[in-house]
Amino acid sequence: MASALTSEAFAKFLACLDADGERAGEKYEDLRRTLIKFFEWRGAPFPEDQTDETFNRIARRLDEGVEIKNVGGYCYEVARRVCLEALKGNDRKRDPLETNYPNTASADATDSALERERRLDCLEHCLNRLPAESRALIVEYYQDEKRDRIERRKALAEALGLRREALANRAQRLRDKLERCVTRCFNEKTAI
Amino acid sequence: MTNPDETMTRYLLGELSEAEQARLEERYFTDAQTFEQLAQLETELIDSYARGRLPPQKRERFERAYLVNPDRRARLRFGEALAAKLDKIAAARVADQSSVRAASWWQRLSSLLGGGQRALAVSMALALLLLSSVSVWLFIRGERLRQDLARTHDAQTAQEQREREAQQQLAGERTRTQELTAELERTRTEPTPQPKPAAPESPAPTLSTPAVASLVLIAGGARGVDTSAAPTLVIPKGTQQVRLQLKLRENEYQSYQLALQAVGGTEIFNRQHFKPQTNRSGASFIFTLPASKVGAGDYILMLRGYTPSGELEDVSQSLFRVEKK
Repeated sequence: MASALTSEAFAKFLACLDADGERAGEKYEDLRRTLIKFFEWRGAPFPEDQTDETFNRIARRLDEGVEIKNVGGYCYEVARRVCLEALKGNDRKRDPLETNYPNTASADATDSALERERRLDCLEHCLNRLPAESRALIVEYYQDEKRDRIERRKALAEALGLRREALANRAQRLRDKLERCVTRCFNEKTAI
Repeated sequence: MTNPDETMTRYLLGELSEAEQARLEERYFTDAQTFEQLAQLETELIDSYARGRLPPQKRERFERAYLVNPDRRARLRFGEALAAKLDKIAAARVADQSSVRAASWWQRLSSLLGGGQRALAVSMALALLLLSSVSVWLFIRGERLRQDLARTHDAQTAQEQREREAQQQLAGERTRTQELTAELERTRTEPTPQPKPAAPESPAPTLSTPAVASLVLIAGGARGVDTSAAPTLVIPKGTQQVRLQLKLRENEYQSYQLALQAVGGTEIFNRQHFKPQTNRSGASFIFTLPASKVGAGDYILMLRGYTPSGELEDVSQSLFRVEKK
């Protein structure tokens, strides 16, 4: 992995995303989220590290004077290369998205009773940390009444004055935030 | 397979060819909505698996391809925990509804006790007692969540009321401006009985043009773009200042960042750590800008709140239109 990003290089990278500093920050966060998911979906071993490596490489290219017009497309090309290297480095002989994996899920996918309890405690704790409005949205949006789910979500979107896609995006981001909080809390609890 | 959801599911399950995979990846790196769709589909898959709702074949594909990765297994565990929690809340709601029916059960139990089947009746009484305790506990939890929701709905109704009042106020202001303009026009056209002064007159004072054009906005309710019809700020020729007031539905943060920018254009106002003025009718931000800085077009006023840790959270985005006359 390359050395960490200097603040100067990072500033250059942000400027490439948007001339306005604040909007550049938002775009950076969005791109970071996309990269982490990409590496996860590709089965790369350390998605956050590979995301940093991708940003490092792009910043270096910018430092060398390369002009990037389509940041998303360029980022994808770099990420793809980083991913292949990471998978090779991890001594993986097959593409992780190939289907011939042994069934490792059932052995490892079930929590022990203690882990389940800890995770539920963390979930309770993290839900309580959300603003009441966000908590209510998560509960309403992900309720399991499959039959009327579409209608319920439609009504929820109308009540909040949002388009359905915007509501779905908001719910997903809230859920991601909640998941990060639960993961952090759970790791802290198990580390003790 | 042309169904985009099916293609995305196959992507998540590692069943696309290298070329198909690259096509989809390129698309979601450049199109945010495609990425969001994919992330949501992954969530749906996880939730369906956690609730045992995937058909056997898909379940098997999911376990073989998706759950092979430890990060994804952790995601499934989170999905399971959330499903369990939400099911508990739903059960509390059901318990709440069925508590009304509990009275008739009690009557039947009483008749059993009277009929001499004491052992059975005592067991049932204990079971009923246990069930009632669980129901009460679940009801309290559910009630808390319902109150949260009710508060959100109340706040929204109040906001709508305030919006209506603001619109009425604005309409009144407009009518008054039009009346004043008409009156001044009449004064100009009517002959004056006074003799004309010999000295050349100074230019007519610009009394017809208000020095300040103002607009009142209400911070959108749901931390999102206010999608109701955009209000319009009319800036008559000669106006020197533009005064904007943003009323807050709830004052939840210690300080805010307020930014105004033309839609698809540049930012013309940005203030960090801005604190609202508060009075009996609530909290609001008031700021003025030189009218020359505000051209005709659509604008978005973005409000973000500073959390105790110094992070910024979106509070509202208000759209309005500026017309210059």
